[in-house]
Amino acid sequence: MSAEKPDTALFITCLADLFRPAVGFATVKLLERAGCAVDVPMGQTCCGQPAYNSGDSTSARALALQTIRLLMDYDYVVAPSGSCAAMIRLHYPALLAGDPEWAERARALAGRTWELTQFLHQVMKYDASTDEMPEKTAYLDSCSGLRELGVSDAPRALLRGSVLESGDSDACCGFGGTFCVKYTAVSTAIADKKLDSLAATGATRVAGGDLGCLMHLAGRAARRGLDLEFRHVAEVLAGETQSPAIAARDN
Amino acid sequence: MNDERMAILARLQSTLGPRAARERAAEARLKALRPNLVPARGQLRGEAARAQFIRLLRENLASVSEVAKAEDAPPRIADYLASISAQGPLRLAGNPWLAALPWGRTDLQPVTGQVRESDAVGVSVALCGIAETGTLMLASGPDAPSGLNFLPPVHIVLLRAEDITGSLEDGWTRLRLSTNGRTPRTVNLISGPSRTADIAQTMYMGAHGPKHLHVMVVADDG
Amino acid sequence: MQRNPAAFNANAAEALRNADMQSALRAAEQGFGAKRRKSIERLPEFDALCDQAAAIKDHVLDHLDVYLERFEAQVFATGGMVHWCEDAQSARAKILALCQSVNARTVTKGKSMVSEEIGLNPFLEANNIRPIETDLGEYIIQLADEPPSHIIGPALHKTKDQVSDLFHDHHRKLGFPHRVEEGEALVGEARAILREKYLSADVGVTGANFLIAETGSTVIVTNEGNGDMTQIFPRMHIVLASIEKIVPTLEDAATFLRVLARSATGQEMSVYTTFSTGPKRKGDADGPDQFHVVLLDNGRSRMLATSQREMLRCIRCGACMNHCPVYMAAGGHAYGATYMGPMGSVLTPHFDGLARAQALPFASTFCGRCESVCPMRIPLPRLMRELRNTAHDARLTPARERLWLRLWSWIAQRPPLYHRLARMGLPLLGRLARGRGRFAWLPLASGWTRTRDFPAPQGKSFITQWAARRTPEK
Repeated sequence: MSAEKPDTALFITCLADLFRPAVGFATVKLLERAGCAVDVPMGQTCCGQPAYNSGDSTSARALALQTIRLLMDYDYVVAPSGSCAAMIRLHYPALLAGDPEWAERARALAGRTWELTQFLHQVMKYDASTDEMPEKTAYLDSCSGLRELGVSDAPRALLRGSVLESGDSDACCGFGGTFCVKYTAVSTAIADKKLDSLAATGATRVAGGDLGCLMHLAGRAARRGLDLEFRHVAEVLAGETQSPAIAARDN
Repeated sequence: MNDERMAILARLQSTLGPRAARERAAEARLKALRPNLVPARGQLRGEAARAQFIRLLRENLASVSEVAKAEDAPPRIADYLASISAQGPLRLAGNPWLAALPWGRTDLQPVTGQVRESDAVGVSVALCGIAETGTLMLASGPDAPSGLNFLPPVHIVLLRAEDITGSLEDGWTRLRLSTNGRTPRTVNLISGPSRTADIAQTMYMGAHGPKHLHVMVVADDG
Repeated sequence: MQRNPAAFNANAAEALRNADMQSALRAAEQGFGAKRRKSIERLPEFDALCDQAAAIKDHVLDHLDVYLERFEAQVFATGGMVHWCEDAQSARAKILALCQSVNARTVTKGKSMVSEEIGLNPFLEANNIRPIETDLGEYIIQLADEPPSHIIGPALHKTKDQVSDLFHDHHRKLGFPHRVEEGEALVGEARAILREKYLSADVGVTGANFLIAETGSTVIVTNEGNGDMTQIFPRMHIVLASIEKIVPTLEDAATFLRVLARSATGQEMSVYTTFSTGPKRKGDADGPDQFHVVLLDNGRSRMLATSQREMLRCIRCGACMNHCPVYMAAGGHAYGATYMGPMGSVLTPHFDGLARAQALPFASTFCGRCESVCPMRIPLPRLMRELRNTAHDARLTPARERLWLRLWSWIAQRPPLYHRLARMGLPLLGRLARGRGRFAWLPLASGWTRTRDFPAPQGKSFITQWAARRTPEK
């Protein structure tokens, strides 16, 4: 590891890669500002979480091995997602615990993998004080980030206390990966509760760390005609808020 | 029946493995009767324990009064019953301490014997009070029917102040001492009057057991 | 509402259309959550107590055979009987035989989820014995002929108005001609009717929250006092309990009591906690002449041998469902089984078979709130995930879902193909969106677009753009 600039791999996550590349560019900008040498390994696809959560541990394992091989030689791996980072940090070691060849590598990678805001705040001690202060913004905790990784203070610190809080910030938004299409009605009912409490904070913008939750809520808010804008927290922190918000039309 | 017993135990043993060492570990635990973590609020003694006991019982919607001497209890009970407009037969547990109180100084005319549905008020004596949660411990016996704790709509419990202890663990120690290690048929832990929240999640008092629980702490059992 | 776990999705949709159910759930979510939080804030040692309680349960499970035998010996020593039952059918038959041995006509019942698990009431009725539920919630749903929708609030889904109607229908012929609406009056009516039942019943059946190996005691925890009257007045008291309810000593029971009520209702102690040991003693003023404990296995000893054994730590407090977004949207009946919410989604596949119940372990967003509030530290998401694995490997999950998943995983394992498809597909999707930023409908995505717009991709994938950006430099 170079003392000045740690070799940092961006694990973009499939949703950001395919649907919101702006998150990737914002993340790179933040990591560089924080003093990282950023690389984007080209062979990355999906961390395997959809398969893992659907009971297909064989596919999940194959994708875990592919991802470990790709990322194992960096000082840090950073994902703009609590759930994908948790997949690597907690579930790869669990998935590969019985594998003599891969268990140790899975554990080693797990120890170097971070969710973006936690990495910026805790590891790089990123100073956001010169960044633009976001206004009327609510932070959307994602359950994986919050409960599996303890991501709670970091994004709030980076948003510099400007966050509007709802009373049920630890409640799920109803996304749940494939859950959101398997149990559409329940997923939507949970989303509506979440949207109502977000709207009640008086926020006009919701920033979140997981694109799955954001796309699900933004899609529901659009269908309901709610006046709320959804962005990944990386876009907000990097000041990249000119592009249309998630599910918003081009101006 | 025995076949099922054997089958269940055999399955457990095949999962759990050799028995001898496990038997020793279980025996040791059963013999030690060691308390686990007792919260700080369960470790209070004396005046602090008494104050907390009373405060928590009141929080749980019981009423509490304190009398200096046991002989003051009957008139205070009469006052209390008047204050809630309770009328009708008052049934005492067959406890000699209760029977010896000067009931004649009141108009209460208590009766003893089998508890009846028509009894309006039941009077029992608690083995101890647990300050940690404001809980009464009552043990059943020849002079302590547990039906008396539930059937009459008003339940009055007398408790000697010296019998207020810190925790449930302290209560178990007292119970074992007072019953010579022979567990009574029924031990009731009572922390307030009966209530239910089964209709539209709203609390209503007097679901099946007593609507009123009055605890009288007797400072000196003279 | 179908009493079938396979119908979870349809049942949930029905519950979501039921405004009464939704307002009851909303009240429950706020009430249970706030009360639990408040009671825990008042006890700094709460987390340490949970750790200890979970460790005690693990110890019990490691020594379950020894403790069960000790419990049995203590019940015998105090004049009671223990009956071991492999399954629901055996337990029902045992209880019927016991009732018949005293020519029982009516049986009063304290609240017992194990009684629901074995389907005791319909069985007794079919054998001309009348079971009378005495817990107010259970009484309400018995009148309504419905199963419980929550393990500690069985009638949680009923409005006061519905209770008024039910009571009016059933109490008219019992000397209560007028429909009452006040909650207090409704409670009073049930109280008056059930009082007479307690005193005239031949047998009282209760469940048990705990069985104490040290003393042979069975423990019930209630707020109403019904469980006590159920066991004090009849000649015979039958306790129906499953084998994992054992705790070693009275001291250990104290530890569980400190976490049970707080997790369940947010009370520091429930109003009545009762330890029952054997039948009435010589000279006792009251109590049953006979005391029987029916010990039910029903798959639990088999569960102990699996990686799902942590589920046997469960003390049925209901905190997992009280904090579950899925339960709080779908309600308890949607699960189509005795147990509901996260704990039910783990238990039901063991009781009903995974083939019948595979939908339940998938009925979770894996938000993890259940695990975070479970006083027994049960890793509910992990247990549900294991069941998902088993269901997937046994091809019990819908074939279409497995196909999509395999296709996605197959592509994702071939990065060049994955990125080529992204390069081809995304511009196409982008053009389809035509600047609207979202789709109201997409082919093959109706599961999403039925209720939500689907956000359009911003353009080329990040990897595509990053590669293009870097190439000229090289």
